[in-house]
Order: sequence, then structure tokens, then C-alpha cells
Amino acid sequence: MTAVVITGTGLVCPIAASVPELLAGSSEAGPPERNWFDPVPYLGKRGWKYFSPATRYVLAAAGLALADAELDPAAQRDESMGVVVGTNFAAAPVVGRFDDVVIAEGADMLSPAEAANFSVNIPASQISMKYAMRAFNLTLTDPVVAGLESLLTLSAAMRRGRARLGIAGATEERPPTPQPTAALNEGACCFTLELAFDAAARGARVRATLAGGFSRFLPPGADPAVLAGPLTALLEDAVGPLPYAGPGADDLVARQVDGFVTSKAGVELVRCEYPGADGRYATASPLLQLAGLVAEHGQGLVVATSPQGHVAALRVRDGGDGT
Amino acid sequence: MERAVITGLGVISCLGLDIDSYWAGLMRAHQRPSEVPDPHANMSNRLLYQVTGFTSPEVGTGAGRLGRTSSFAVAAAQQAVRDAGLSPTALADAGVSIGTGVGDTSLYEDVPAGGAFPTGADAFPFKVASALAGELNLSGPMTSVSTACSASAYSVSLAADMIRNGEADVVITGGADGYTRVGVACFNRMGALDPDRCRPFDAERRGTVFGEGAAVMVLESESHARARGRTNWYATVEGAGWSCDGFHPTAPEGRGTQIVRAMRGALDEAGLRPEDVGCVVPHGTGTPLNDTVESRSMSAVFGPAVESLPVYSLKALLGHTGGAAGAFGLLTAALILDRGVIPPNVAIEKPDPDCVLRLHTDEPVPPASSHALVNAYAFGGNNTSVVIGRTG
Repeated sequence: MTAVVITGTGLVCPIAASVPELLAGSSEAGPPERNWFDPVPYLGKRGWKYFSPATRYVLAAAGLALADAELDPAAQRDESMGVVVGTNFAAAPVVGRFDDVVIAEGADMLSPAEAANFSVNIPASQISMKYAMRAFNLTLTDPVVAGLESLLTLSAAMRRGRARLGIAGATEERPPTPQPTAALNEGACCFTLELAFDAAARGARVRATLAGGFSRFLPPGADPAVLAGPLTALLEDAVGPLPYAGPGADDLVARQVDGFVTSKAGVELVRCEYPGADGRYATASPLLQLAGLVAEHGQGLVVATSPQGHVAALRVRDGGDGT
Repeated sequence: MERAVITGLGVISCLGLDIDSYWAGLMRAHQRPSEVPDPHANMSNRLLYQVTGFTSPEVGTGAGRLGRTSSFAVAAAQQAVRDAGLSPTALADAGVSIGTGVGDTSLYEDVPAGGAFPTGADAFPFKVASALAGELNLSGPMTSVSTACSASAYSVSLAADMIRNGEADVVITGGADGYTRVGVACFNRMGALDPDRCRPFDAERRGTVFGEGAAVMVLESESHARARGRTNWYATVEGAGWSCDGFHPTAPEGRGTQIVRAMRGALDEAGLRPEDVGCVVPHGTGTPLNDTVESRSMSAVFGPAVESLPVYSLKALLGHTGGAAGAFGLLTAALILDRGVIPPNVAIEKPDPDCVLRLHTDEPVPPASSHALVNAYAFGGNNTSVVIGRTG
């Protein structure tokens, strides 16, 4: 199978704007401060006024990932570059604000320059517009796991020949809520993916190779053994100890995954934890875990679960054998 | 490689709440939008092709609190599973690939009318796939696509990939979208709504008109279908082409370069030539520039033959069902190929001379071959075309 590799990582969230800051991050007590993000260093002084926060975050993260990969999109064929972004709450705050205006003052009082932002696919679309990435552009929205799905979907599409490289990531804005909550936060995380032989040809530094993954669903009361098949396949050639990041021990599904991997697959898991392990960044949380694993270990397993029953996993292995 | 065949259909639409009444509505070729009964819709154009007479299905606790979109999706999926004749046991490993533009935004928009604010698991606006999987007890591969108005055509393409790659034998796929006050308000503000009705390719068209509903299909590997005794199905998903304009948040790129590429990509993947296509269900929203660009792009793909190629303009009947639109196009194309009949188009009062398409009216016509092409485009210039066929 054609190997797909990670060559760049970019992230912005209230406690980190780089991988080293993410690795150093530990305290997330309390609700996030507003206005933590200054777009100017990432997007310049103009051109982003009418973008939603989620769009600004993902454009910043995508730019950082491209810079980290030392990859110039302008030097690539536009139809060879795809974009896949996961999100749950990129549009919800915008829709809430717009709805307040519609109810109180009427649709005529909406800003026409911002009206398109009600559509949740605008953040991803702005990446394609900025970098002329025209192979395709997808927005995925399964709760929490859509960030991991973005890497799985982009890499699968690359293997089918629909693109040779691209941006996979996730972005979130804090959702509307009637009561203060520290549970959900905002930010974005992106990766550049390339076909392994393309990355090698341009002398790119390979951070990790995608070794596989899945996105499944565990209906309430279902036997978690239904995950045995995809987990076994995913860990078939894994040798321990395997760095592992995912939900905490209070997550039932995560405990069951831990148990299965250790007892049935015979792989020792070494738990790693990075900011957002509790899912507070929704779809971006698992990607922050992936960013941490890739930076610290160059290999590992990320698992994500959602309150509805989604379970996704992605394994990366050392970049050296990517070609 | 496994072929992905469509073995079950389910639909919730303004034309009817099951396949038979939907088809009858298509054959009547007459439908008008009405004003949405939303007291908080403070906007000049409140037209909607509404689903009426719908009762939200009773669901177990696994599906969570359903918004209008998820309710439509679950009801349509239940029909599709029955139509396919699949038992719960056969569904256990089934996957979900569903498209939706706005998800369960209605749960938030219901709050001013006294609805409870969504919290916990219900606070996630996009949980249509969760609702389907929870209600039908599915644990196979999952994905939920929200690429605006091309979402569900992409979801069907991804579902076909799941089958071909051997990730699943059965995938519940399609799309759903319910009325959204904010969505209609934003289109009001952008001046993108027609004050009369949705009239694609009419010289007097002034924009689109929203619709709502769900179109859901059971997609199955051919070997799985045959193993359970099925030797016949509606159609096979033969190929898909993906592309992105990367040009503007809402307007299409005027030359249609990327939508031409999507159509040609779908034909290439299907191993077909343009002359093999016997029917096209266009995206055709009624928005002035979009219809013109799509028509010109079809001319580029099909050449002079486009003037004799049957085209079925579905949104003139359903309105623009947003993220469900591509799935409605594919479900309708599957019915067309299965029944060998293209229903008559809604009468066009003043055909646009810039849109040289064969839009037959008054009487149904047969498809010119056993292959149909369906287009779906979206905000951000996110395009896809899917080819289905009735072969083997």
C-alpha cells in the first residue's frame, strides 16, 4: 500500500501556539480567556476581518503546518492538493449570533460579508482559497472523532489517487452555552500529509508514517469486542512499548481499548497525555494528542471517543520506514 | 474490487414520506413552496418546500435527542433498511456515511420557542451519524460529511469507497437537512432567494428556494447482496469525481474548470465515455450564475450531444435540500434507472438561452442508456459528480 507520511504540524490553542509549547503545557484550569488569539502574526493585517474565529484558527494552523513541512503550495500543482477538516462547533457560535439578530432585528441586519459563515464548511474552504488547493475540500463532523477522520479520509483519498498531498486538521470555536463551562475550549491543529515517495523526493523531514486507523461506533450496551477486529488489524505489526494517547481512565471505552490491546494484542501501552486529552477541544483534541506523540516519540496510537459512542483510532509509526 | 450496489431506498420529502408517494410526486411534476410557519423568521422571503405530515420516529435512548435533520434521517434509514430486506443481525457491522449541511441546528433554533437548550451529548450539532448508528445498532465504519450542499454526494462516494476497500459490506448512506431559520435568513441577506419558486434554468430565475428532507440508501457489496439471495438492485455506484474551485466562498468559478474536472473524473473512474451517459441530474439550484456555469460545463463535457441528453431538474420540485441535495439526486437517478423512466420536468416558463439543456416537460421519457450522472456543488466551490449504472 502506498505510504502516507506526516511532514508538518501546526497548532494554535489558548495554551500553545507551537508543538514545544504544547509539550510544556499542563495547566488548563478555568475557562479560556477571550481574545487569546491575535490573527496578525499568522494572517497579516488585512483580509480576515469577516472570517469566523474557527476560520482564523485553522488558517493559522494550516500555515504553521506548511511552514513546518517547508512546503510551498505555490510550487505544487493545484489539483494535487486536498483539504479535509474536522469540526463540531465551527459554525454553532456564528449561527447563535446570527439567530439573535434575526429574531431581534430581522435578517436585513445581518452582515452580508459574514453571511456565508453560517455554513460549517467555510473554514476548510478558506484553506483551499488561500493556497489554491483544488484536488478536493471536505468538512467532516462526527462528534470529537472527526479530527482523526480527517487524516484517515485524506490519506485514503491520496491512496486512491485523488490527491498527492494536502492539509488534514480540525478547528473549533467555543460552542454557545447558557451556563459557564470550562469543559469546552477552542483552537485548531493541522498536519501536512504527503505521499512518502514525494516527501522523500523533495528531501522533506518525515515526522511519522500513517500506519492505519478506523472510525467506528459502539451502540449503547454493545459489546466492545466489536472493536477487536479493527484494533487487531491496526496493531498487527506493532511491537511494544507503544506510546498511547487518548481519553483518561474514567472513559469506559478507553479502558476497554486499553485492556484489549494489552491482553489480546499483547502490546504494552505507555500512556502519554497532552493538553486536551479530556476532549475539551472537541475534534481538535485527538489531533493535539497526535501532535504530541509525533513530536515526542515519532510513533504511537491515538484513540478518541465521543459521548454519543463514536470511537476512532489512528496509529503512526516511525517516519524512517515510510518509503 | 467489490462493486457497491444500491439495495434499499428511503425518503422523507415535501412530495411524500415514502418512495411510492415520492415517485408519484415526481411524475406529477408540480409543487410550490409555502411560507414557513416560524414566528421568529423575521425576513422578507420565508418560502420553503416543507415536509408536512411527518411524525418524528420513536427512538431508543441510544439515538439521543433528535433534531429535525436527524429525525428525517432516521425515518428514511428505517425505510431503506426495510426496503433492502436486511435483518438487524446483518446490520450489526454496517457502516454509516451521511451528509448534512446544518445537522441538528434546529435544536438551538427551537430554544426561543421554548425548547430546552441542548446540553451534554445533545449539544453537538452534527450527530446525524450518531443518531443513525445508535438507533439501528450499527458499529461499522462511520463518517459524517458537512461540505455544505455537496455533502451527501460526497458521503455516497465515501460509502462506495468503504465497500470497495473491504471496510464494510453494508453502509447506510445519503443525506438529510431540516429547515434552518439562520440558513434561510443568510440567503435572504445575500439576495440569493427566488421570490416565486425554485426554477432552475429559467431565464427569469432569481435564486434558489430551500427545501428539506432526507434521502437514504443502503449500499451493499455485490457479494454480500448475492450471498443473501439478492440478484437485483436499483443501481451500482460506478464512479465519482471530486474537485474544488478554491475561488470564492459562495460564487462558482465562472469558467467551470473544476466542475468539468469532477464530471470527467466520475466518468473516468466508472470507465465510461460521455456518450455512455443516458441521463443527468444536475445541481441546478436556480441561482443565476450557478445554472449558467453548470450548463456550459455540461456542454464542455458532452459536446453538442448535450442538447439531446435527457436532464432531470429535481430542485424545481423539491427546492434546494442543502446537504441532502446530492443524495436526493442519486436516489432519484436510481429510481429512474430502475424504472426506465425519467419523470417530466416542471414546466419552464422562459427557457434560458444560455442553458442549452434538454429539459423535457409534459411527458416522461426513457433514459438514453443505463448510466446516470449526478452533480452536486457547494459553498467554497466544493464539487463532486457521481455516476451510477444499472448493469449486471
